[in-house]
Amino acid sequence: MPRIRFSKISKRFRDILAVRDFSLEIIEGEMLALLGPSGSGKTTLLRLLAGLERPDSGSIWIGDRLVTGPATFVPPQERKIGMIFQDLALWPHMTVRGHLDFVLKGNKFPREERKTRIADLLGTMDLADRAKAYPYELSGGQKQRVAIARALAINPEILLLDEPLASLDQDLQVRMTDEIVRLNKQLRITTLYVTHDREEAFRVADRVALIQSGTLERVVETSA
Amino acid sequence: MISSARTARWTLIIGVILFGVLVLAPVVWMFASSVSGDQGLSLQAYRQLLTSARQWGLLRNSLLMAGATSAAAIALGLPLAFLLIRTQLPLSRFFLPLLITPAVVPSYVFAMAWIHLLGKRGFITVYMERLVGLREPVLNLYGMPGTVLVLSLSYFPIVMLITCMALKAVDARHEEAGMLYVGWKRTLFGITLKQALPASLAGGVLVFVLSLANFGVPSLLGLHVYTVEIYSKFNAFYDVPGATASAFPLLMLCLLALLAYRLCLRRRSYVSLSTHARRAGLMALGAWRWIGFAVCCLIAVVAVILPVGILLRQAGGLSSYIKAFQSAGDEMANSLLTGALAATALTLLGFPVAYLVARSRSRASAAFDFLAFVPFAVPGTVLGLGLIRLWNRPGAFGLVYGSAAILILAYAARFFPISEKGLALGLERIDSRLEEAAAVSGVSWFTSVGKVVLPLLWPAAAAVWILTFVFCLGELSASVLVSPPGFTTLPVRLFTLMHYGMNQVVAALAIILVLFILVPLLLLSLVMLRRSGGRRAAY
Repeated sequence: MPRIRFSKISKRFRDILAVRDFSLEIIEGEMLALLGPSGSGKTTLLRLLAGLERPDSGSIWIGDRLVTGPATFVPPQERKIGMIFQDLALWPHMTVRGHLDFVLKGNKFPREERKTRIADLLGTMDLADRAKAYPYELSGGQKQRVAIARALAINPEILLLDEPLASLDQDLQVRMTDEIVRLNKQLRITTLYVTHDREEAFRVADRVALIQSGTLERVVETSA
Repeated sequence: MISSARTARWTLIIGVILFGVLVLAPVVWMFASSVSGDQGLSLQAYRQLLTSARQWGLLRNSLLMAGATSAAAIALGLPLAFLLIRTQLPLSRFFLPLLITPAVVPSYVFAMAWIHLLGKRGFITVYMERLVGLREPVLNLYGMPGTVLVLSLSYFPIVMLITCMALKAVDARHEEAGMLYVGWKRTLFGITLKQALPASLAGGVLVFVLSLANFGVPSLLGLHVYTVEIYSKFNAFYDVPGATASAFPLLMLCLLALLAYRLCLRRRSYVSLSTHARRAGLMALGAWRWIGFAVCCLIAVVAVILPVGILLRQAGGLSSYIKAFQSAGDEMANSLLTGALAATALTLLGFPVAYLVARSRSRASAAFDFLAFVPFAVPGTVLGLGLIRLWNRPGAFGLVYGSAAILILAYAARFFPISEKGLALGLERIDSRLEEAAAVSGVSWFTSVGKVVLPLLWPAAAAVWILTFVFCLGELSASVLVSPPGFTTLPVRLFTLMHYGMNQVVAALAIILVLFILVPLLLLSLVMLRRSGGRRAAY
């Protein structure tokens, strides 16, 4: 799985400089946490990598491929990135199966493969009996697993997590953390994990990048 | 708190009684009396419903007209809403009020204008003949195509407005999740538009009901539908049972469609309650925005500028307007007077019901919310017929029937949903804790309503008054049946004159009616804009 490189990225929102001259390299298959207070620009970095924002200057490489640069912009859906959004952002008008089908169809998976992939994902995420349910009919943990299944559906090379534990109760937090670590280790997906919780960052990640006012303060290896 | 609950219960009872007398009584009475012949119960009047070919023709025409109109209204309203709300359309602020205009100007005025444009001696017809020697009109305005054209150009803003609200509610994060996995095209169709679609369909159903109930347009353009049949049966032959028999299927169709509308909206609400929900950004469109701009311009020209322009042209100089004032001054005064009285009555009557719907969470109030909506499904001609059958009798009833009071009753019944909904929306914005604070301080319910609620509610009440006032000013389909001898309103006068042929004075009268309607609305929106602007500045 690829290494990721941010090079001299800057992004301004009206009068706020959210990210300034930010450079960082993320190693293949590692789990890196972006740790910083709210408003420090860590979510913006995630969105820049996903292609949901364009920087004012600087470039981003995924592996050897320039995805964001002065004259280059690869659209989000061509970056092979899965993302767990804060509050999940499940589609309220789609069933669990509908979510997966919509994503797989959008990525031109043939009919038969869609069927088997959906069955696989529902099985591993323990959602087989909830395939026809809408988000409002699901429990918190089930919603979480739908979001993960949706992120994994396209066989992503990179997984982005935006405060994935923020809206969960304690019980689910532990299970979710285990799940994320398992995915990272088993599938060797390069994972970027955004959080404002110091303890959480050091518990989960291989390395922690400390972000302050849109700049990188330092990178710390964890004992994990 | 017991006394407060009791007051609330009385409000409910008074509301139900007033509502029943106003709206339901005429219609219920009409059908009750239609099945009671001289020898007891009889379904004689309804026998022909199933047997005559004429009835099947009416059904076919009515359904085809309403179905085609609502399809066209969705086809126009949905893309327009998207352009206005979600794209960087040039001048979008200026398009919104312009494109709403057709919904507030009475549709029969547009029918008149289109006769001037596409009729046998119409402006476009004559011009085309001169230009390319086209002998036939560009589009045969009379009959189905013309009626559907005029109605869909009048009603598409309803779909547009409802879709605008739904599009504003789409959560930006739902779209971003789509962008990440499937790209913008599939996101646009699979997420954004899909979430707005139930609202557009609900708007389409509303248009369906409004088209079924419309009398002026099919009557002027000679399309034989239920409303026209009811009017001609009653007016030409004074055949009340026959008219009632046609009113019955029309009312049933409208009620069914209304039920479908409620189901459409109830199924699922996609409104995001999350605290992280964000308004989605505007699409840049690039060069496409000029194509969007051209589409908006084209629709604004066809739906508003062309029809109003031809009426202005037809009316000619100032002398036509002076003549119009001279010849129809009484009717104008009548319309303004009955409209003002009815708007006042509606604002007062709407309050108890709105209060109940907004403040109590009981099942009764939910049922009432639906009931208050029912008048919307009672076409003006059906209501008019019901009012005639209920009030046209000797004694005190006859006094009401023979006076302008019957018009006020008709208006109040027709536009009750507007006043109830408007006031309920206003009340929902006033925190109920303000009243609870008053109650805790030992203030009676009436004082608390008078000193706390009403001072805060007046902007909503003023808006409701103006809205109901302009709708009353344009009301034709019930007025044309119930207006008492010697007391004619402006729309009825206009309608009668149009049948005698078009001239400058008729066009001038139409322009005057449009001004009567647009000027108060313009003032209202200016005041509301200033208020919201001032409030924003204060924060």
